[in-house]
Order: sequence, then C-alpha cells, then structure tokens
Amino acid sequence: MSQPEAGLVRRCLAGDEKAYRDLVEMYQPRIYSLALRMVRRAEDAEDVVQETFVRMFRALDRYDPTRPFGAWLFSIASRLCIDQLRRRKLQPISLTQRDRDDEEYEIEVVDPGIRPDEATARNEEEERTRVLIDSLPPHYRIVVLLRHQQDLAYEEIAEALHLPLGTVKARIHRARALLKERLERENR
Amino acid sequence: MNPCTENRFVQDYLDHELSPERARAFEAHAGGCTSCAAEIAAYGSMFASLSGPALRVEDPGPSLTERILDRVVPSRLRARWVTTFGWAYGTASAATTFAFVSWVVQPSTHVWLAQSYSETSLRVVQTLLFSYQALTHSWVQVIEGVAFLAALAERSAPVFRALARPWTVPMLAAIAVAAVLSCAGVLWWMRPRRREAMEEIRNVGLLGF
Repeated sequence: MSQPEAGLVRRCLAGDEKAYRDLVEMYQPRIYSLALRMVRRAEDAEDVVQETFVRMFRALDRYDPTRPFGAWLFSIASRLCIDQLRRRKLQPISLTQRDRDDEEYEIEVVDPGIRPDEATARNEEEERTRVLIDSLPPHYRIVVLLRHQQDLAYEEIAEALHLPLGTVKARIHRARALLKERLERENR
Repeated sequence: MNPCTENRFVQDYLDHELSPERARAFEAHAGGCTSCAAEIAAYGSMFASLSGPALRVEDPGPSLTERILDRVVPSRLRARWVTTFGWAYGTASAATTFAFVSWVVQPSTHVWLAQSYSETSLRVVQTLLFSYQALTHSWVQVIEGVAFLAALAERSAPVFRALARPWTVPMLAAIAVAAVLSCAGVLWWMRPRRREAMEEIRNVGLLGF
C-alpha cells in the first residue's frame, strides 16, 4: 500500500475524522467514474459509490495492508456494479451472440443517459468510444475500464476481480478485439 | 490481406508487456509486414481513444462526499442516532400524551377512576397495616433472641470463672505457658520438609532425639 493511503487508513482506525474525508475525496471520483460507465445511470452510480465506501470503512479493521489498497477498493466497487446490473436486468434490446471463443455475450442497446444538449456539445469521437464500451458485456467492460480508465496493472486487476492473471489478460485482449471489430464495422 | 501469426503480439506490444528483446524483434518484423503494421495502426488508434476523454474520471461533487461521510464518520453516525432517537422519543411522548388526555376526558373514564380510587385506597391501607404488623413482629423476635443470649451467658459464667482461676496462680500459669511453647516447638520440628532436606537428617530418630 502506498504511504498516503497507509497513513490515512491508520488515522481512520484511530478515529481521525479528517482522514475519513481525505480517503473518500481521494477515491470518490475514480470509483464514481468506474461505476457510471458500468451501470450507466448517475443515481445508480452514486448508490454504488456510497455502498462501496460504507463497506470499505466497515471492513477497514480487517484490511490486509500487504494488499494494494486501490485494488481492494475496486474489488468492492466491481462486485457492487455487477450486482447492480444483475439486479436491474435493464436491457431494453438484448441480442445474444457468440464471440470467436464461442463464449456467449450480449450486445446491449442502452440509453447513455445524456441530455440532447450535452450530446451535441460532446465530441462525436468521444461519444462513439463511450457507446462502444457500453456495448461490451459487463465482464469485458470492467476489465477495460480498470485497465484504461483506472490505469491498474494486470496484476492489480486480477487482485481486484479475484481472477487468475491469465484470465484477466485474455479478457482484456478479447474485449479490445471486440471493440476493434465493431469500430471497423462502423467505419465500413 | 492475410492475417499474420505475429498479430497475437500486437496488444502486448502496445501494452509494453513484451520483453525488450521480443519487442525489438516484433518491431523489426512489423516493419516488413503490412498485416502487423495495419493491426498496430488499428489498435494504436483504439488505445488512443480509450486513453482519451471518453473514459475521463468525473467528480460527482461534494454532496455525494457529504452523504458518504454521513454514513461512515462515527460522530455523524452518533448524531444521526441521537436525532432518530429524539424524534422517536418525541413522537412516542406526543402520541402517549394525546392518548392519555383523550382517555381521561371520556365520561366513562371518570366513573371508572372513582371506583378504582376507592378500591385502591382500601388496598393501600391494608398493605400499610400488614407492613406495620410484620415489622413489629420482627422486632419482638430480635428482642427475644437477645434475651436468650443474655440468659445463656449468665448460666455459663461460673464455668468460665472456674476455668480462669488457675491462670491467677503465677506458677501454674508459667507451667502452662512452658507446656504450650514446648508443644509448639516439637510441632515445628516435625513440619514437612523437602526430600533432600529429609535425606540430610536421615539418622534423626523419633521426634528428632
């Protein structure tokens, strides 16, 4: 665990309330951005963030300081995002397909939750990338987000998702291949 | 364009996951392979998009921070509990007062209260009388017990006086003290000892003589 986080965790356990705020402010934007791209609704993303921190603080005394703190926090957040998606089952149009490895996945057509005036203001390329990422199945989307949005190393992603390193690499490769295929299909 | 078998290294190459030697070899290969060069360009463009603003980190703002802190900071949790308890207590008090006042102002309640009052006052007087009687009886028992002890002491006084008389003669008292001390000394000599200590005094006879 890096020094500032280790210090903050120690201060939190000692009851320093300023440390609680510092720890929340340090990770809140990252957890929120991950949750927003995973669950795609601002209110649900906020619920995920709240629940992530509540669970993290409740388990803080059982936290193993030899594990990376960020990976631990992202593991809680990832699990909550997946649970939220499972609970919601809001997939307006869902087409089941099979990828190259005969693994079943669903293409979701979803409302990106952006107001028309915002959408016009946003860069078209940015919007297209976002829609493409949103179209990935959740188990591919989470690895892409942890890698490219949160800049986690493969090992940290494996730690966060409780998956073998090889599985994480394979999923990231497949997810990127899917993105590339769809990008090429759109450009044709 | 036919896909090249080396294409499988493109993502690792862009991710800087290849060893330096492997990366150099792949670069050399891609320089002459149009398929790999095209893959590098396609994935490179996609990597750039993924690192761009599409996946930027967004801050939901301080209101979410406050909501989180309200649920985790101990002092805020205590304040919340106190507020909840205060509201619950206030509501329960108001409801109870309202119910009591509503009940009291009923005409039938007045009749019931009057009957209950007379019954209750009778029972209170009975209880007080019983308590007084029980207390008095207890005192009598105590006094009788003390009188019995005094009578016993008076009857046994001559015996104690007879037993104490020898101690008034100095010679008899000195003999008795000497006897008690001798007995104490012998008992001390016979006290339990550790095994090695017993071995050291193996030849000591009966009572140490």
